[in-house]
Amino acid sequence: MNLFAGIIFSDAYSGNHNMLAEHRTLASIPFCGRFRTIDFILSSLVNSYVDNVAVVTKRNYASLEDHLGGGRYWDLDHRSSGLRILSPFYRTENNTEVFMARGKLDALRSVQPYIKNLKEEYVVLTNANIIANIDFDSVFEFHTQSGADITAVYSHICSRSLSDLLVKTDVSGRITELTYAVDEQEKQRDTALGIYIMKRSLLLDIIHHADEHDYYSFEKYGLIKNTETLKIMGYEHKSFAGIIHTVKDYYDLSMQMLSEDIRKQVFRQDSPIMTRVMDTVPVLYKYNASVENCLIADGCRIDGTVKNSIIFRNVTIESGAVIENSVIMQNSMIGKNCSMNYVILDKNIHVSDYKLLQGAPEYPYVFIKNTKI
Amino acid sequence: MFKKNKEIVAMLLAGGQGSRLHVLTKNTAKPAIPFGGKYRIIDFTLSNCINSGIDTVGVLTQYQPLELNSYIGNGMPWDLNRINGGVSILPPYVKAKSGEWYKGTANAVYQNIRFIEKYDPEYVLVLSGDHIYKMDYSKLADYHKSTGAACTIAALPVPIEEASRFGIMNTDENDRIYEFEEKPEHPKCNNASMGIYIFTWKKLLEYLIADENDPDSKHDFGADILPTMIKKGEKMMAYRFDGYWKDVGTIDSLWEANMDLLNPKIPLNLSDPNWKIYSRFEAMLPQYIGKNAQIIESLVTENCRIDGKLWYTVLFSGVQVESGARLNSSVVMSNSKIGKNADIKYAIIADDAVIEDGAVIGDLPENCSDPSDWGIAVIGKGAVVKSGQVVRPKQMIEPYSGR
Repeated sequence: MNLFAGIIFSDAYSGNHNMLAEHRTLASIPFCGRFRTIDFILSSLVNSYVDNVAVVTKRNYASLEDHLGGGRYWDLDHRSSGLRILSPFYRTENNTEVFMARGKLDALRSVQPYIKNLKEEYVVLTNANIIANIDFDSVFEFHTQSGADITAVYSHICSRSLSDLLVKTDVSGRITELTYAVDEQEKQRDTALGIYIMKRSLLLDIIHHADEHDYYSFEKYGLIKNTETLKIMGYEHKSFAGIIHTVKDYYDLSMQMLSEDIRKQVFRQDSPIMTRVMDTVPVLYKYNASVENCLIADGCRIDGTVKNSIIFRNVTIESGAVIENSVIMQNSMIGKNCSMNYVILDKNIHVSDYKLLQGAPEYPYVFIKNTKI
Repeated sequence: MFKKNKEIVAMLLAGGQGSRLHVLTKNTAKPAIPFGGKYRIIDFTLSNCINSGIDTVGVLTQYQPLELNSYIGNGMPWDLNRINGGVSILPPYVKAKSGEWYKGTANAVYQNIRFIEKYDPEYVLVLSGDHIYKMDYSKLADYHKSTGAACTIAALPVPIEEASRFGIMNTDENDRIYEFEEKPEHPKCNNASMGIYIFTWKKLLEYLIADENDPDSKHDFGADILPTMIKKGEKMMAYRFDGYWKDVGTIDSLWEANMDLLNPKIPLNLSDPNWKIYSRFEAMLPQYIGKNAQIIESLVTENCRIDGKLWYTVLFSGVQVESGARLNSSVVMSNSKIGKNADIKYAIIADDAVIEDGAVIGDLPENCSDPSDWGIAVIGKGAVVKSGQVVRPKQMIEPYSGR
C-alpha cells in the first residue's frame, strides 16, 4: 500500500476572480483541448501510485463530479480506496444555517472523520489549478529522507497572483520564510505551487489547534506561522509549472502549450496526463482548411483558417472564418467569415456568420458558455 | 447467481485469418485491423449490437487472438461490461475427450452451444467481425419475428458483375429465399448476403447438431447450414438493407472504405450522435499542427504532430509528419513516423512504421502505363523504409519481425 493519500482542493479560498470558474470549480476549467485543470495533479499522484485521493469541493462542483465520475479514467475506481468527492458544508451549532468554508482548514475540519479514518501515514494536500507533471516519487523520497515535518513543492516561475506564497530557503533547502507576493511583478521567483506533504497526525494536530483559535487559512496558520517551530522543507520542481488564478493566467498558460518543448515537459510518455475519455471522431479538415501552430482536439470539423490557437473537442469552423490567438472550448460553432483574435470562447457558443470578435493580448476577451453571438 | 434470460444472443465470428490483407494480418486477426483513424473493424459490429439493444455478445476467436482479446477486454468501451450478459471472448478449448479448433463458422457456434443455452434465448444473431456498416439489428429481429421465419438473412443489392464474390439469395416476390448460392459463377440476381443471419434458436440448434454429425459437411453457415435449411423447406427470409456496407477483406477494399470516410456523398457518418461507433481509446494530447502544415480533405487523430502536407489522407493517433513530407490518398496507422520530404501516394502504412527522409512510396494510378502494375502500396507494422528508398505501387513491405 502506498503510504501517501491525496487531498485535492477543488477551489481557492481567496482573491482572484476568474470568469471561467464562475459556473464551475477551478479544478474543472477545460484546458489544452481536452483536459481539465485537475487532470494534471490527479494524474501526477496516480502515476506515483497514490491510489486514495479525496477531492474537497467548495461550490458549483457539478461539472467536476461529471468529469471525475467514479475515477475510472485515472484507474481510481477501486472497491476500497480510490476516488472520493467530499463536500465540506456543515451546519453551525444552532443547526440552521449552512456554513461555507472560509479556508482550507475550515474545509479540512469538516471532513476530519475522513482524514482520521485514512490508513495512509502521510497526506498530500494540493491545489487543483497547477499545470505541471509533478514527480511525486521524488517528492516523497525527499520528504522522508530530509526528515521534514512539512514539504512544500515550489517552482521558479512567474506568478502574478497576490495569493501565491513566495519561498525563501537556506542552503539545506529548509524554508526560512514564506511571504505573500505584494506586488504583481513580471519576473520569475521561487513560488510555492500549493502542494504540501506531511504526516497525517501532524495535519490532524494543526486542524485541532486551529479550531481552538478559529484559524481557517492553512497557509497562514499551518505554514507561515510555523517556519521556526516546524521543519518545513522546500522541494523544487524543475520542469515546467504554471498556476491558473485569473483568465490572463489561463490564456498565457494555454498559449505556452503551443511550444513543443513545454508540451514535452508536461505531457510525458512515462507519466501520462489522464482524463475522461469521450467518444469523438477524428478531426475532419475540409477543402478550405488552413491551420498553423494550433492544438486541435478530436471531433472538430475545420473549413476555415486557424492560427496560434487551441481548439477543443467538437468545434465546427466554417469556411472563410479566421481565428487567431484564441482558445475555443468544446461544442462551439463558428459561422462563415467570422473573424476572431485574442478571445476565449467558453463551451457551447454559437457564433453566427460575419461576426468580428476582438480582445487584446493583455486582455483576452471571454465569452461565457452557452451564448449565441 | 440469478441470470435473466436474453431474447437475443449475438455470436460474432472473429476467427478469420484475413489472408487477403497480406502483411496487415500477419500478426493480427482481421477484426482487430485499425480503421478510420481511431477504430478497429470490430468496433462497428460491437457498436451496432449495443446500439440495437443487444447486450450479450460472444466473440468467437481463433487466429492471432492476442491483440483482439486485449482490445475487447471487459467490453467497457462498448458498454458491454455487464454482470448479466456483456461481451465474452470464446476461443476454442479442450473438452473432456477431445479438443479441437473451430472447423468452420457453424462448428464454432456448435462448440459454444452451452454458452448460448446459458441465456436461454429465443433468437441467435450470427455476425461477422470484418464488415464496415451501421445497422439496427432490432429492425432485422422485428422483421424475423413478424414473418415467423426460421432464419432471416440481411441482403444488399450489389452490382451484378460483382455478385459472384458473394453468397447470392434467389427469392420469390415475398422475399422468401428458395435458393442460396455461395459465390455462384453465374448469379441469377444481385441480392448479396451480408453475412448477417438471425435464427430462431431452436431451429438453429437442430441444424447445428445435424451438421456436426454430417461427415461430408465443411461446417460453414454459407456452404452447409443455410442450403440445408432451404432444402428441408424451412422458411428463410431475406431482409433488405440499403445503407452503407463494405467487406474490408482486401487491401483495396480496406483502402476504399477509409477513403469513403472523406467523401461527404457516402452515407457512413461516424459522428451521428444517435448511432455512435465506440472504440477503446486512451486520453491523448490534441493534435499539433505546425507552421508548415497544409491539410485538405483529411482525417487526423489525437496526438499527431503534423508539419507536412496531407491530401485525402487518414491519420491514426500519434503519427508524426515532418515538414516537406507529402501524403496523398493514404492511410497511416498509429505512431508511424513520416520523415522530411517523404512522398507517399496511394499507400497504407501500418502502425509503428518509420518512413525515413525522402522515401518514396506508391504512385498515382495515371502514372502507371500498365494498369495491372498499379495498386495500393502497403508497409507492414514496424517496418522501416530507408531514406531515399522507393516502394512501388502494389508492393508490400513485410512487418518488422525482430524484438
